[in-house]
Amino acid sequence: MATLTPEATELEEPEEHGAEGGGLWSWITTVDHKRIGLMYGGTAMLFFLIGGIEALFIRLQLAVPDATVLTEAQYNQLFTMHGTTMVFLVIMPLAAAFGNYLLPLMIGARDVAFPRMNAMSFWVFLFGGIFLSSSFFLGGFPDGGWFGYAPLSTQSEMIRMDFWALGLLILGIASLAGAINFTTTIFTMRAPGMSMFKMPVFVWMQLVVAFLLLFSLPVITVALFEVLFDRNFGTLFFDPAAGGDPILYQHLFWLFGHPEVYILILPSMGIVSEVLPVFSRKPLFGYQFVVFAGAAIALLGFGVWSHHMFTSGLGPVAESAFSLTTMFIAVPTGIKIFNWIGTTWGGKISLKTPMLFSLGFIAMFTIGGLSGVTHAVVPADTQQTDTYYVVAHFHYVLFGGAMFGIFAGIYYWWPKISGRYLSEPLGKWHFWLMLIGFNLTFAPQHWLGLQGMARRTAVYPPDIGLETLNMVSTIGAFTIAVSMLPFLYAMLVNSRTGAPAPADAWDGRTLEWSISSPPPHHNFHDVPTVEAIDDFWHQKYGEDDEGRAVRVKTFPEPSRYTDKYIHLPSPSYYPIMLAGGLVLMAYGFIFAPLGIPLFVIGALILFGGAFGWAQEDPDHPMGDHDDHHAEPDDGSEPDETAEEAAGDEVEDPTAALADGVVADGGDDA
Amino acid sequence: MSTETAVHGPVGTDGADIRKTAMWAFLGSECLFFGSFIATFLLYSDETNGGPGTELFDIPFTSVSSFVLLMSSLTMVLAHNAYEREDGRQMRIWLMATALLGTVFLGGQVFEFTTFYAEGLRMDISPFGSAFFVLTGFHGAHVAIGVIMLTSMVIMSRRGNLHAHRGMNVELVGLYWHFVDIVWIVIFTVVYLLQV
Amino acid sequence: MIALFLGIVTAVEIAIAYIPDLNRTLLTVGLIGLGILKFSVVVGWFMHLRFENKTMNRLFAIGLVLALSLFFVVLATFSGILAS
Repeated sequence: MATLTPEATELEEPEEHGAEGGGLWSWITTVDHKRIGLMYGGTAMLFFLIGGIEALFIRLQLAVPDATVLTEAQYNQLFTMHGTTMVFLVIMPLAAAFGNYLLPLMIGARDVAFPRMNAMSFWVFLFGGIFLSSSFFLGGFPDGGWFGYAPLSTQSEMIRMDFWALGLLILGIASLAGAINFTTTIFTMRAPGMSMFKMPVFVWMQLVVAFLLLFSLPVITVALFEVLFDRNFGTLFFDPAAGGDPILYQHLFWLFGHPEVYILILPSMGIVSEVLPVFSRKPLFGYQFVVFAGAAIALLGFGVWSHHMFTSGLGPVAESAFSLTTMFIAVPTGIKIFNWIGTTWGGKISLKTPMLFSLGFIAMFTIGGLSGVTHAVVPADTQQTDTYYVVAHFHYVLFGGAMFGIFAGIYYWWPKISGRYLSEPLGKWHFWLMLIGFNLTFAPQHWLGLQGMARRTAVYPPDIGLETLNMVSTIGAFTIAVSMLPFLYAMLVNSRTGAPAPADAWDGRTLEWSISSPPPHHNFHDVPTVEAIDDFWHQKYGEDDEGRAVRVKTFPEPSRYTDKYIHLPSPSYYPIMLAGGLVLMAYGFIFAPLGIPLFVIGALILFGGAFGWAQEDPDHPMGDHDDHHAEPDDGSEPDETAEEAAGDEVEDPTAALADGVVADGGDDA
Repeated sequence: MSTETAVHGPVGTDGADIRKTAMWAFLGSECLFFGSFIATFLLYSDETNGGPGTELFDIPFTSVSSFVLLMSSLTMVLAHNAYEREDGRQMRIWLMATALLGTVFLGGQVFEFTTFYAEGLRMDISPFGSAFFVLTGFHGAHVAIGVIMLTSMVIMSRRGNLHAHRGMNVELVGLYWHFVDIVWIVIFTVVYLLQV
Repeated sequence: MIALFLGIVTAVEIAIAYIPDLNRTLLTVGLIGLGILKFSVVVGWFMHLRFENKTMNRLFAIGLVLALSLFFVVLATFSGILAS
């Protein structure tokens, strides 16, 4: 059909041998969710290092009073980019990385619902991240704070905040496409027998996150457009002199911003809910409660945004209402914490690195959660707003919470991904150094904040009692930096030389452990049929008379390869083309009027990519013949008959499987 | 959303077309997008900053263009019916008709914008102007993208590249088109009729 | 049929907007009611949502309900309803 790229033929071979094609081009055009997941993860880790270096500069500046390491302008840029990078370029994409790699493996699918759209998400994210960071070389980082409050963000003269607003708009496209993709994947591509309440908790949390993204991203999109229009086209959305209202920006931002914090934390909650049962050798305590609590957090998460705005004068009724909803949200969160503790209670705990990070997650997240509840109390919050107390709070939930969960996930799943264990001693060094460094950095900030130290201020005077704790905090920050060294060493070296990991590396419970490590390109030789939660575990273990788990079955080490012909979608270069066009347009917009030609070129590339994409046959040419069997008179409408033909075979996955055809590959029907 | 492309088969484990599930998810998201703009408009509907306000609205004119857009939903339904009957020629005719009505609507919007500019309502004159032009402008952009997609459908159908079981199809474009229409129903009621 | 119905509803709407001295509240309620009617007809029949599965219905319903409720609250905080 339409444009078959040369590498489509290359696909044929590796498919049959079960290996993946190599070379840069195969990565650029890949639509394999595992490769996309790895690229997401690798890119996000690089941004994590960049964001970390920014943080170190901030802490250097604050180590002593009246410091001159940075000018105030540089300081503004660094804290803005530190926040923006960590939220949008590190934690969100890391969650997307786990989702990409694991969702299909955990629900027994061979890929996500829309593989090319998935590739586009990644490229848009990568280019968007580069776009945002490239502002450093083109006039300086954005400097209006990570939430870019108007009218500060609309009135700063430099193009920096244009980079910020456009960059976040671009990243929003990546996240929205990803959210649509994950939602559809989870709803429609689960293995036979896997009802919603037999899905792993991690999958549930990814679904909740996808919903949050779906319904909160459009709101910030509007806020960013309004900022961008105010900056570039003279609109007056946030100009108080003309009757515009900056408070509207705050509403729009936090309508997105509060769901966003759950977007950041819920994937880690999912990871921890997978890790704890495996290393306690017990099922997750109260599966339904954990799931419902996750959904409740999401729902309530849409009703608490104004607690970020208590000092903006909402009025007593609104403040009381939002104070109440904010306190309510602690209930489902507390339920989760009790369930995690209940999972470990009486279990055969094995303190491997993933487990350590998970336990660290629970402890740190609980501290962060408790300081969060204090923000719900309006008078207290009024005191805490814009002080280091808030900084301490959200680092406890986002670093001690989200990042610890992500590290737990990395240590847990890396044997599956690379086929080799990461070193336990190095992992333990990493964990303990990071835990100590983290607490040294952020615990003192609670006191600093309550003593009145304001955030986003580049200098503080001596002799007001802030020196010691700030110095401790800076030492802690550098301890965190040191703790990354064993991790990076382990990632770079152990991935090649570590102890080989079997398929079922940790005696796991979920489907991904039933396939080889690393997984076959097509994931499952045969799409599994699922009968229970933790189906894989129940296949391995039965119960004796006293209810103890007894091994009843041992599986032979699964092969990576199969003789079957398994059909997978062909690679495509249209996703990267589309993403490239989009970013060229953004650069063109920033440098208008000089950039207008660039904008036009970008738009043409974007349009060409979209049009080519729409016409590309995403599947193997082998499947094509059915498109044309029964064409209507005018010879151009193969639609309905083909759909029926495709539908018939696909609706019965087992029938499709019998011929070694992917159940979800419509085209070869 | 020309990127709304399924590479896998059309039917998921829940028996529904996976692309339709994705499209509805996208449309659900779009509700919040237009909701934010409409909320902005409602907040600023009186903030005229000394400039002109809603008295400029020409309800009979806008009613006609609203009617045009509403009728384009009808032609879209007819296109979809033809598509289900596998009548390619009819389908292309109705798709063209839909695109044409969409273009007429856009033309009406351009005319309206020009008139308002001539009468002093600009997007840089007041928050009201900003909110009005940006809201209706983004709706217009959605219509324009819809027209492009409809035209692409016609071209792809002529070239025999339109397949029911993958990529965008007439039904998905139809969903998008109807959605753009209902957004206009809301805008017409809230922004025009209720403000006069 | 449905199109004819939609056309008539639109005509009624415009007519209502032009009734002189019509009570403002009545006008608002009437117009919003007719708008909702048209909205539902297009979504339900033209877009076949009435005949689709629960997943699709819910996806759209969540978006709609969230949009309505969130922005009602936002506007309420500005209008001073919640300020007293």
